[in-house]
Amino acid sequence: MQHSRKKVVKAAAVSSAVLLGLAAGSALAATTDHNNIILKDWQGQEITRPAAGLAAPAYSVKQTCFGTNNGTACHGSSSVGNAKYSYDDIERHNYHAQLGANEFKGYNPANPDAYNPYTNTGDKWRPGAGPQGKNWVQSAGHFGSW
Amino acid sequence: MYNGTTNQFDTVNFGKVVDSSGAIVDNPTGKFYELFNFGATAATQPVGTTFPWLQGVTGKEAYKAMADNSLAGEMRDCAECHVGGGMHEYVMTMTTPYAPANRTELRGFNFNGLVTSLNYFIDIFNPDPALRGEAVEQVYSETGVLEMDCLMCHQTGYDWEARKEAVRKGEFDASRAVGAGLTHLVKNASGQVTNTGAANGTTVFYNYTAVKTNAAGKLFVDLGLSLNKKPQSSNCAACHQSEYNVDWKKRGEQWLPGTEVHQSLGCMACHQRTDKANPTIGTTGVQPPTGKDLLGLCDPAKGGASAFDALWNKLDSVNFKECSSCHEPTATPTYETYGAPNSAPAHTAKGLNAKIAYDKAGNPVSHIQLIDCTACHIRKNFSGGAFVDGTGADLEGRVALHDEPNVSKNMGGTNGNALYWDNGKLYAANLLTSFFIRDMNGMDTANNGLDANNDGRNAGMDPLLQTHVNDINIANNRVAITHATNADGSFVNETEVAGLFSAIKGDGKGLASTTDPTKYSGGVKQLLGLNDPNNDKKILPKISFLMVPFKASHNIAPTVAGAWGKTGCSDCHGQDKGFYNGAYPVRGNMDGVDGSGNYLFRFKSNQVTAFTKVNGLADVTDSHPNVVTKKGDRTVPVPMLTTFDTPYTPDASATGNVTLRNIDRSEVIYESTFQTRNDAWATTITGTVPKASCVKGSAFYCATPSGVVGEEFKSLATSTKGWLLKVEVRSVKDNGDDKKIWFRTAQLGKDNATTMAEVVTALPASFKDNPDFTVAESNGAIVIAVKANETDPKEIRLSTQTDAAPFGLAGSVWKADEIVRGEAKYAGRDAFVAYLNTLTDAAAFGVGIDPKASINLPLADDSATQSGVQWATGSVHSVSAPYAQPNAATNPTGDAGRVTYTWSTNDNAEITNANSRDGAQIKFLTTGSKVIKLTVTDEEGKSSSTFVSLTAIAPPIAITWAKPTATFSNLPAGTTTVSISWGDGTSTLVKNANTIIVDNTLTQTHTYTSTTSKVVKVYCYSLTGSSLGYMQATINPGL
Repeated sequence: MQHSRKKVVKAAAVSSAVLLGLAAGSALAATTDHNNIILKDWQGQEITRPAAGLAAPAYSVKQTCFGTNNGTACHGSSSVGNAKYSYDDIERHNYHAQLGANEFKGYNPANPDAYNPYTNTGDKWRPGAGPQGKNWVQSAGHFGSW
Repeated sequence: MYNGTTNQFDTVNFGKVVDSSGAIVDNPTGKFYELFNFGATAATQPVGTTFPWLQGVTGKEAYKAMADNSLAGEMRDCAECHVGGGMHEYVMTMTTPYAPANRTELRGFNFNGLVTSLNYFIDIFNPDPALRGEAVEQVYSETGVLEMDCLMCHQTGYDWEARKEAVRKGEFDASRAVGAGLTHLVKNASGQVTNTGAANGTTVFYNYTAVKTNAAGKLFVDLGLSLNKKPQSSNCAACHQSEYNVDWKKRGEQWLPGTEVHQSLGCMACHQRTDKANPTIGTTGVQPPTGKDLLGLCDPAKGGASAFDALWNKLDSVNFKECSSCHEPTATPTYETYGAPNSAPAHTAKGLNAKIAYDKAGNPVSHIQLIDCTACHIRKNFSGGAFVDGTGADLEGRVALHDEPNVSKNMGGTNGNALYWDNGKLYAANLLTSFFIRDMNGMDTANNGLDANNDGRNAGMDPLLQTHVNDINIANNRVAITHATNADGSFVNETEVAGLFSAIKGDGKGLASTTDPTKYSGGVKQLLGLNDPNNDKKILPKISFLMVPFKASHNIAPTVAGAWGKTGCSDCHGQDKGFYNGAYPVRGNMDGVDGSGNYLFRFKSNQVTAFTKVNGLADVTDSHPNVVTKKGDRTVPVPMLTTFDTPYTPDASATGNVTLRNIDRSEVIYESTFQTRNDAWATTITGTVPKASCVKGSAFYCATPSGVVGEEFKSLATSTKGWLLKVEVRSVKDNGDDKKIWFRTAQLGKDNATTMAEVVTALPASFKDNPDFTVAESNGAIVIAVKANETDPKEIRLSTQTDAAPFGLAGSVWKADEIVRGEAKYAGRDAFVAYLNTLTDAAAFGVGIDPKASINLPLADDSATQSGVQWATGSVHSVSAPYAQPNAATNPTGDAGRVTYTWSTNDNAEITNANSRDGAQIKFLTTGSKVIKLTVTDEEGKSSSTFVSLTAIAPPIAITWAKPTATFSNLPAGTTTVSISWGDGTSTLVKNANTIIVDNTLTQTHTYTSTTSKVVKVYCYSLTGSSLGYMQATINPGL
């Protein structure tokens, strides 16, 4: 049996009419930019509706959002605002996605001599405390911790 | 890798290897990252290969024996929150240097039939518990991969629960459609997902209400109404704030309606980058070697990490809105501030901007500068995590119990947070204690040591693999010890723990056990792949506790409801107020005792052991070593166990009813005895003689302890291996330039040293006799002596990284460090906290009292014959002032608070001790009207000024008499004739006086006929007869 987790965040209470009024200025605007989006699978193929009762390929965010949609430039192939950034531009420079993947050190990164406090040089990461010499700790983030 | 020339350890990073000469060089294969290979999937390993203790096992078996979690396992576990991308989509770049473009797609990667952490996982979520714990291959062509799922953050109503169910089952490609609500999702009446709508990992049954079909038969969606450029708070909260999720557990509930004053603004009000109007976007994915990084397009700006968080710290505080960014901006903001009220007036009114506190260096600071805003504005009267129980799985299968009320805490009525120091500033924290099982047999394998987690390192009190503990639990119908209450009403008791340890030990024969291997009768050694028919390698299971103060920075209460200090000093200062002092509910919801006085959360003293020792292995602690003092140079040890035994204490000698203390909050921020680094340099450092082997408290190995029975004996317990000795060296010729200090380090490789002589013998020879110093043993103590060098003499001291206690060097590394406040000195926590508790009167510190400047009069007067005050130029004159800010009640004869006195003049006079109330001296260099000004400024920044005027004059003529000579000095320039009236009716006219005046001084002799006092007068004239000056003085002719 699994727990049904309590969702802590509920409808925002109006703690202050002033705050609410100010917040309204940044309310999220509905847009038609994201209508009629053709779903694509991981190989970039547009997904065709299967026969009744059959499954179809799961859609890929990467292919669906970062390409073209019926000839219209979308994320990564557009020159408009933030849409010019590609999936790779975002994914590889994003701490929520990288989680230490771009901070890999080595199989045994803990080193009592790695950091010089007087010159502030070297690698300060785990020079002392923590699981020294444990080969599953290869980066500061989640990836590389096993 | 140890470098015998430099006597330092060198790091071998990915992309580097050690060549045959011992040098670290680029990997000749060009590879950056090589997968850790557990062996071929099915083939047994030849004897003596990679893992000698696992001879004859398959790669899968080796994996099960050595790994608990893996990247493949994370994808089904931790990825319930993690957004995808990174190593959930790509294999680490294989070529050096690291470059994101060189990564390889995880889907389709050729693992060549090998078992690795990227394609195998321990199945902990199998619906059939009997199948849990097996090593299972993750075939990415079948599961798909976890792309970075944009909708997880940007879609209103994204179904986090549904996506979680998909990732649990390895439906990775499908998880995106499931979470976005595009599949035929089925939930039961309780809202639990019973069918994700995925056909398998890569295909789904679409919900054709949400997913439409165009004329060409292609599937499309209309998401215009549900996509948000700026993530909504509910999306953030799904991972960060939902009950039992990671931040809830670590930091407690933080985003409550009606409590968090910023809630209506949403998460992105503060986490939206400040350069939003003209952003600079990072896209490289490669971190700069030093300095800060650029936020990526989708990186919410994040606050500063604590010492207990480490994730792309180069982005900490980049473009982040601190509290002051909106509430007290120093420049016109270019970002949204949402009408944030300026907080300075309210803080000032309460004295919080008054500089009456001290920073880490002892300089005056205000409470606002000393304490992070959030620490005072959070009241945590709500729930959060108290424990993570590593003795068993949760109900979903994750191998630690953290999602039950038993391991949580209701903070109601507790005042909530604790505090911790970070770089001399106080932050609020939730104290979360994890506990786990470890093996105290730290000996080398050759000495019957046990590598209890198969990580290749047997020393160090290994924590057991939690998958192994879970396997044993499942096989023996056991659960995590906190999972349910016992028959005696306790949550955890001694019998329960004894049963757990018994199951872990089994019969100790490992693979040789024949009793009932299906229930792991061989104990954990069976899971480790050890064949130990005589139980030579003893396992000594103990439970250890690690408390971490996780930073709390949310749930900012309205000031009137929750801000500490809103009603004055006594909000915090006083006995058990709950801010810096008062009991903290470490035991959480498992607090309490039964009718016999037994704790409801209890152990036997020999079932538990301290987490570690800190400050050079001198102080026992059950908290994270990064819990540091205000100065930051020492760990604040926080022992929480009421007692624990040495590893060889027989069960019969152990005491029961051991628990964790609900520590006082002050224990997290102040040591029991204040100490700091002993930074003195020396030419010889001699240690003390440590306690001898087998004496209680000795750090040495003891082969034959007395009074020890059964398997619980010291010879198979903790070892001496790993002691670190790090010496700092400098050349005297470098004149104290710290940047030129260098280091020499050694680590003890011997596990069973019984004397200091054995320790020294075992240290590397290159270290013991290096170009700078020698290391030897003398009469049981270690001696480090600088080598004589007349042309380039050296000095040494010990690094604080040194394990000073076992080497007998604690006194060389640390020294007492009393806190001085006024005339009082405080040597430790109890006395200092008692002092802090008395600080309830802000006026005693000058707060609310306006300073008043005044100057003590009259001033000295160099010319009594002139009206007003005259000071001679070139002469030093003292000035002083009465106290500017006395408090009639608490300090009538001194200044209440901190008052700065500043003396100044209206010209370039020389002022000595210009900031002294009563010790300043002024010397005017030019004549004319002068103003002396005194400005006083108090701790609140209030100031007052006053001044006096005087005339600076050329030094007046001086007359002195030393029988029979009168000396007339300071004669005006240009004097050619001097008329002297001797006061006895006679006079002398000196013409051409300029020819005999030396240094403006004229001397004349005179004979008096009586000794009664006389008034001598002198008149000076120029060549043209103009009067230049006059002076008179009364003399005693007889002297």
